[in-house]
Amino acid sequence: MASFLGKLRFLKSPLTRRLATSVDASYKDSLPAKVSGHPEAEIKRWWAITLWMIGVCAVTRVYQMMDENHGKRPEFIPYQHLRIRKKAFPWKEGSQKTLFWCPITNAGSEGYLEMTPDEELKWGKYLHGH
Amino acid sequence: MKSVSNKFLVSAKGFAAYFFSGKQSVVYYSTSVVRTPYHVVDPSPWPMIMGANLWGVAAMFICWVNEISLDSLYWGIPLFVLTFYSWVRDIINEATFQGFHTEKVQSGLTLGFILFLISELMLFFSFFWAFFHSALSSSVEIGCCWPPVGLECLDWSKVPLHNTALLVASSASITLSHNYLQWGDIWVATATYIATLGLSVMFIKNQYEEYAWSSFSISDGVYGSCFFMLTGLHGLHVIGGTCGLLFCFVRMMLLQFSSEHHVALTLAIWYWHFVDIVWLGLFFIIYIWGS
Repeated sequence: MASFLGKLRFLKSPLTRRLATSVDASYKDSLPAKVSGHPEAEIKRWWAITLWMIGVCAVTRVYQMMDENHGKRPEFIPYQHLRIRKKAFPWKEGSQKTLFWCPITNAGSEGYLEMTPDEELKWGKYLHGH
Repeated sequence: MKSVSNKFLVSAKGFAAYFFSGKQSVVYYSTSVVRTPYHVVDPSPWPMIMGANLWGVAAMFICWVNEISLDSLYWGIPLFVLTFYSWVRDIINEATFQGFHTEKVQSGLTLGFILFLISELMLFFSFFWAFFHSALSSSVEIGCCWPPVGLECLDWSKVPLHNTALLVASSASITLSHNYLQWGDIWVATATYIATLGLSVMFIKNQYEEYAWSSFSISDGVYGSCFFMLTGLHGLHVIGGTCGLLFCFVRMMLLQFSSEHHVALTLAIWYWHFVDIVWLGLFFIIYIWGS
């Protein structure tokens, strides 16, 4: 126990320095050479870009969720150039199922596969709801 | 406790000391020290061990894909973690605590990283080439059209657009964080850094959801192969970039960066911008043009 707390000693210096309030760090005293001549304008510009982009993220997220159609099953046509199964994947059921297998939208080489009980639990509600 | 560990250091003086003591065990003194701004690195076992280890990891993957028994290769993963940890710890010791990283060394590291980014760009370039090869002159097997017959493409204005917004926002917020660090205000830098990490996690989650619901897979002809090779490789780069940013975040919290000297953070941010630019290429070429 004591040796474990002893190992945490490396945190003492950073924590002490961070929580110290006696030194008032003013950027004007130690303006680094790399920052441009008008740091206030630059920071304001980046705040504007960041906040606008977060707004755009919110809008696109809402738009994305509007048309979420999880239960839809595309019509199955046995094309030769799709659902190629020449070599099995190295996981269980690799001869039919891909890595991100979705039993609702992904079909085997001959048609949509029967759902296993585990899959039925997870995906069943989407399929039967439509 | 301390005296016991010291005795262990003095008596062991071997590789074991690196693992168990957490301190640099052996210091090599040379009789004459040449004063150069370059860093002549002390002899280290990590590059060779890492080389052998990566062979083991590659062998693991080959055995897994060809369904050969992996039993004799499981040492690869823990050894990788240990070697990586030890090597990076040594670099941090040399740089932050021993002060070997002069401006010359910093610029050398930066140049090396730029070359690494160019090699990553070449990797993506080759897969984009494959995509254009198949898309510009579509073969008769897929119906002489692009996207191939019978393949339902993803709507670019839904998930991909949101992903684009997330990555661009995260690039902007990490730039903001970097500016605040250079300015000296570490608290706001921390807050914006956490926002960046949050946005990247949202991207990864969103991309995973899209993969989980996609109606086509990697084995759906050349379209599926190109699409998942490119987006999958990009996704791995995002995960790697996020790990790099997280690592630098921890170092920033431990106050190992100053407002002028923070090479690791700068390079991690460049990697993040690179990942963002590759995604923009993916978005416009694969998602919009390719559908």
